[in-house]
Amino acid sequence: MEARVRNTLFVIAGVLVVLFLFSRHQTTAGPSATGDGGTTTGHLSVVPTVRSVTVSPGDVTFGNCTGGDGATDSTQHALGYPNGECSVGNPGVNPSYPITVSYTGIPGAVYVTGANAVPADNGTHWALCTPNQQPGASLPACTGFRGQPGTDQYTLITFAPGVANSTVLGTAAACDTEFDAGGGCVASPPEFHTQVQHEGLLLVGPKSWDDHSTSWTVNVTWTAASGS
Amino acid sequence: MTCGSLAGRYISGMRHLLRATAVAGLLVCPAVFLPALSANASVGIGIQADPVRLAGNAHPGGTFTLPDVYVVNTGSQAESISVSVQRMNAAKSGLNVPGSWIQASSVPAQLAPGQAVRIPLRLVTPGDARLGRYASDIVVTGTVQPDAGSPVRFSAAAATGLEFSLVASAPGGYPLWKVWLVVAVLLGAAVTIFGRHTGLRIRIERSNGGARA
Repeated sequence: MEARVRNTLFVIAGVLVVLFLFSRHQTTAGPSATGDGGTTTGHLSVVPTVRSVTVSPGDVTFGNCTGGDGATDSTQHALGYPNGECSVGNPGVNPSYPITVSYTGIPGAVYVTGANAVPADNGTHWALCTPNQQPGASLPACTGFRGQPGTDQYTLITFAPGVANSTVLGTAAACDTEFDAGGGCVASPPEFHTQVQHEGLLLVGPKSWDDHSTSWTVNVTWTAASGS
Repeated sequence: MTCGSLAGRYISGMRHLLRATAVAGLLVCPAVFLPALSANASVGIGIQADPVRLAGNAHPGGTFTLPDVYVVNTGSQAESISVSVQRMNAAKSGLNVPGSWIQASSVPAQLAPGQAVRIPLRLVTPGDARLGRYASDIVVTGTVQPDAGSPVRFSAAAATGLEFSLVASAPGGYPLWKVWLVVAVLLGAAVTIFGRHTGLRIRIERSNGGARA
């Protein structure tokens, strides 16, 4: 009788040990083994719904000035006449392209627009002109010698590394051909992220000018738009 | 001269030197660091990619509420915002929208870096407006306060489409569909009254041929 009770107690203890081990095993197995709920975080990227353009830096200074004649020759930072040239960056030897234009969003187009150069006293402006006027173009032709800017005229041209086409800026929006090696202005950011273009500006000054200010301001605007 | 007075003069001299150094530092530091900050500054603007489309048709001589346009400053400085109407792509089909037809209200004077805003737009058409489909662009330009004496200033602009159709409205300024609705109701009423007066009845019978078979 005593042995039977002892055996029974052994069996009960054994069952309890097995149950304990089993329960520990279940706990360590985790929710996936039992099918209980677990959470996971899924990250989803969607196409952008905003189109933007960012220009850095916000303002610059022209330098590398050359050209002019005799007493009115250009100095490093001052434009001379007739038809001196200054640039932001350098397209030639030791090239530099200090303007960064970034387009972000679904594929679209980038346009660039110039404006009249305004003297400090807001007197007679310099108007933008083009050396090679196309029929129907809104930009007036340069009236100086061999397509150079005439009196109170100037040209602004963008340049970029590895891009053959330059954009002659006018007061109407023109394709920024630096963005599209094919000559258009299509911006196609990979994976809808950002297409970055480094650019410089070349300014060819007037044959002569009427205003006596020694400080002038030039505005350039880049515009992001739809491609169609 | 005692040792104490010498020490006092020395301390006083050191104080002047420290004060002068601090003043010089305050004057020089902005001159050193501001150009660097300015050189890294950017100007940028973003706009919704979806075009602004008028729900329904517009009519000459009316005022219509267009959907708001979403704009965000993507530059690193506070920007002044201006709204204009242009046609960016000459190949786009449709009539040009005159700038005077679009009124933007609640345009913020300044937009902080990263700040976004929805600008309400209204279309105001003149009475003699040409009918047809119009397509242009809403262009939002962001400009920053330039450094004094900076000769080249950059602006950023972003454009989204603007589309609507202008159809004729009925005399008196009512849209045509409203006129047709009124005509249909009047016609129905006239037919009913005529039927009641003349005793004319229309009897509709339903034959259930399938059930018989």
